Amino acid sequence: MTEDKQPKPKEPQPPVAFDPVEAALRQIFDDVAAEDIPADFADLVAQLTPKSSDKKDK
Amino acid sequence: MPEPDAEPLSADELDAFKAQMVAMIPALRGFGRGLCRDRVLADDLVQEAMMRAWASRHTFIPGSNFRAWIFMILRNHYFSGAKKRARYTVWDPEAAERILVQDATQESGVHVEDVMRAIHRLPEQQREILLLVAGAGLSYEEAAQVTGANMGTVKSRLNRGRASIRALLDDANAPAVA
Repeated sequence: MTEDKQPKPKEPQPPVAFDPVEAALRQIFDDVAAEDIPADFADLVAQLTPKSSDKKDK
Repeated sequence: MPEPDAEPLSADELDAFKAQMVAMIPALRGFGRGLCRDRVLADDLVQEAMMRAWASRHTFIPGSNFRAWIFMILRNHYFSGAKKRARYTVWDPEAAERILVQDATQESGVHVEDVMRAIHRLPEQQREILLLVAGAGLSYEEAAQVTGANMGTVKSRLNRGRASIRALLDDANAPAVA
């Protein structure tokens, strides 16, 4: 008995139903992402510097 | 901030670490806002989480999942202490009002503000999974890593959370019985 090497045809995927709850949650994150990031985040990132001993040369 | 004793990172590794952290700011702000319900306090939470992540940078394994790692830091910080502050439990209707409603969501009759209100009536374990998976787009595996739950539990909490929100929204929209 030989093994069928033919790739199986893909089974049709069930349609993904629109979920308004997930869409609303996604919208919350999308809206936040569309906002300008407050300047204090940039200030924080600028302050994130390692101790002098933290740097190593490659 | 205490710095752990560990193999120091190279300049390139530090730059890469910082770049990954900056790239995650929008998603972390979304998650923080979902947890805190207040945009200003959520940003405070995110900044505290970023500082913790920076202080723990030596524990991050390059090449592993940075997104799950930093979400876990924010989540653990929130649940370990920040949550206890009463100021994190204030609902900000004005902020919610400013959230735009997507067309498709509008057509379905579901409003972002209603969903946010409903999600904060859920058990925290369901709420965080909904925010992580449905909101931030994390995979089940990532959500499991962030919350410390197994994949089956993540899926179960997600499904129960979805069903609970729908039920809450249905109740809110049901006509009052005389």
